[in-house]
Amino acid sequence: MAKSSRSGTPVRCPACASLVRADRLRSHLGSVHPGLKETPAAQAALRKAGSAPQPPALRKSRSAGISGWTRGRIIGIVIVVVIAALAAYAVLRPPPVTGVADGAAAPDFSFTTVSGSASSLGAYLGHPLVLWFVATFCSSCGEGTQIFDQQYYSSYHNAGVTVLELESYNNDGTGEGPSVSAFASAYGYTGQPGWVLGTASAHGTSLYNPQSDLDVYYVINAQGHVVLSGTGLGSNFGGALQAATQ
Amino acid sequence: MTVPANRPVRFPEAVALEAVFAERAYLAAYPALVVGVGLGYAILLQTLLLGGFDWAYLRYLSLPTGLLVAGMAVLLPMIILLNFYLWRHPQCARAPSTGGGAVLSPALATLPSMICCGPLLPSLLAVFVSGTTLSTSVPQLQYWIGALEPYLYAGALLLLWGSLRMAARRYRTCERPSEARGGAFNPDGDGQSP
Repeated sequence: MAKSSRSGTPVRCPACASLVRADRLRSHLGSVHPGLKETPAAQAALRKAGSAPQPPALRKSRSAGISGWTRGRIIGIVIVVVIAALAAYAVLRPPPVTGVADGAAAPDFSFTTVSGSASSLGAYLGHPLVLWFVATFCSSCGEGTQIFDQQYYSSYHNAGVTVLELESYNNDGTGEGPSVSAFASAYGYTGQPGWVLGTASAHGTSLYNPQSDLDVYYVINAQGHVVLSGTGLGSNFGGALQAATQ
Repeated sequence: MTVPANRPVRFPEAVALEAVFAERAYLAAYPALVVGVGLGYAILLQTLLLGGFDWAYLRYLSLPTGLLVAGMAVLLPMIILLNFYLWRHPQCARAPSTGGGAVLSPALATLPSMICCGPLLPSLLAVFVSGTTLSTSVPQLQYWIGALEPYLYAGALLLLWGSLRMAARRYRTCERPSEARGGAFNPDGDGQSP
């Protein structure tokens, strides 16, 4: 049996000892201790409870009202539902409207490699390749580059598929973010054969990435035709390799 | 528990969690929840970021994301267990549970992964703007979301900690009800209010 710490008297009913609202105490006494309800001690306790200041949580619920609490909960639920819907959309995202349609011949454009030399897409046509437009501040591009380096590079290299990973011109027009060389060293690019990192020209970016998406890719077959395009190459290296080698 | 709930407590979460983890079932459930929440949240963030999932992707969590996942894995199970404890022991709770922060915080922290790199933000903004404005403003916005990502994560963890603190403040000493908040009536006492 628990003991009251102050008086040392036995306490059998925790509810009686803890209830501070007169209405609740009255209701509790009536239902649980009907014999004690009319005793002087009970009446004194009820008077004390009636005059006692209410605890903060109860004061708040009285002043704000149930409607305020419910309104807050509804707003919270709406925010969570909206975020869940956005998450579902983000995962089940539709293919983007990109610059070059699937089946079309891949137009040539120029770019600068991370080592500073000028090159063009045309120099790589004739072999299957993956053209990947990235931004250096884009998290999925960085993680995708790491995934490619550690999991897929050897498969692509062995299959003879070149990867041209190009920063969209001026980092998608923002002029912000780390340099391409900093991006390369952060995510594992060391100039591996069959993998080219560089910066696309404004013309090339407008051709292939007119909507300035951050993580856009095209798979171009040996005949120089686009066979697959999409966003988020990081989760689709396997599919891109399959499309390139078909 | 020796600290009366009506006395200001500097770390109410420590007092409440001490009571929760004094029960062996809660102590046993905590590590399992830490692993489950951590793994589930890491999978969710990587799926949202990359648009798909493979177990190998867990290796590529960035440092801020990894810290966020670790913080969620530690704090969220505490909030879950504390709220469950208070629900099981209603005499130990001051007020009904709201738990809003515990739901909002993990949801808000998914936003950077969700909108940083994919077509979600362009699709949403396309409702309001179009053409050149869209193609110039969206990458700028996405850059700032990426740049602010660590701060957003820190804010989410602070919100979660605040939620734990609020849940802990709902806890009051329940082993000694007469001390809990100066209860009104002691039916077995000496006829005086305590």
